Amino acid sequence: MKTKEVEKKKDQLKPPKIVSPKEWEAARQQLLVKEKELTRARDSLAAERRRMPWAAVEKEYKFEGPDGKASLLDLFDGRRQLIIYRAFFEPGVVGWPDHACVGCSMMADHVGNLAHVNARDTTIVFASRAPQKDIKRLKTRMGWERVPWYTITDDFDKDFGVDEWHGHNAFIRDGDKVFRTYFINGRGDEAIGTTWSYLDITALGRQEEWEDSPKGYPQTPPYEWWNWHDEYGSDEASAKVLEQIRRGRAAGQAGGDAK
Amino acid sequence: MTKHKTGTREEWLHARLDLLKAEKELTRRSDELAQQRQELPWVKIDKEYQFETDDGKASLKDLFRGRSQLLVYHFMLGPDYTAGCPSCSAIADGYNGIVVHLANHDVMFWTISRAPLAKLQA
Repeated sequence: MKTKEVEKKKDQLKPPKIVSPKEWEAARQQLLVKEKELTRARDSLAAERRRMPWAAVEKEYKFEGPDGKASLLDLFDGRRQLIIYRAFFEPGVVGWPDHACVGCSMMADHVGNLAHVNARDTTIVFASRAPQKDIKRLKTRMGWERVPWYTITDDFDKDFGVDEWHGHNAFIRDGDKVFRTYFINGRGDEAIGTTWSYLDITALGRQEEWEDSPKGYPQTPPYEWWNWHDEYGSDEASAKVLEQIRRGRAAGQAGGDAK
Repeated sequence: MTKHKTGTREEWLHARLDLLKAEKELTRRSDELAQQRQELPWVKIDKEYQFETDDGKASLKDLFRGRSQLLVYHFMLGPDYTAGCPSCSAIADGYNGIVVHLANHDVMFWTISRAPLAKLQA
């Protein structure tokens, strides 16, 4: 919205109700009940996603990546799970060849350090129809170097519901066998971008003990698997994190909200 | 890991469309809650707070940078910390790219800590 329009809108605001800090806190506590209800509802929806049947992917798809040809299996990069975000960057899309579609670009701006999702055995990639040389140029200019970004060369977009509109497809593999597990698009995409929102659309979830998951799923205590993005794999840093998290939980900071 | 239930493309699609109703319901519920947040009363802040920023001393009002709204994230990094708290660091890993979108939507976003500025810039 242009500044002028914002100013005009602000003039039309109904005057806010001004209260004392005590009254505000009481109102906030009331709303907090609903905030927690919404969080629980989101958790239980994620639990239902984990109970979706898995659909085997039988067709062989071919992508182009920075290192040449890649199969769907290659996109997993050795991890157990894969999320593919279909971003529109190709001839015919507004902004080409300087920009990807404006909404898709905003999604890319939301992708943080992927080390955290990777630590849960999950890979995130973007896929578009543009050739790799254009993708490389775009990534450098927009500061998206960390996002693995592949070129679609066949019916992948049509087969997975992303030939006309953006969306996130989630996959899992069992050895070399690949299954489609979930699909998020439309306004569902708005909520995606944090480590937790990515993991919540995967078949295995956040892989934390409190989650309502089918029996036998990989699960570890919440908070304790996190690390600084440049310290994953370091025992010394993990021990330091663990000590700090446990101290925090003992003091009732983190643990209270985990329930 | 146990064997998970698999289905055909059609069965999968059927299950997804079923779940899509719940997805949309959650989106609406989340919109409704945001609406209620907007209806909360406001509290006037009378105390003068002072922050240190890259551009020198700043009051709470200065942090708005001319915008009408301000979001402040408290990042746990005290003077005696050798590194930022791991969960705050993981959260900070995610928000760098969105600040420009908020700033252009009349919302200023800041991260604050107790550590001296020299330590934050290091």
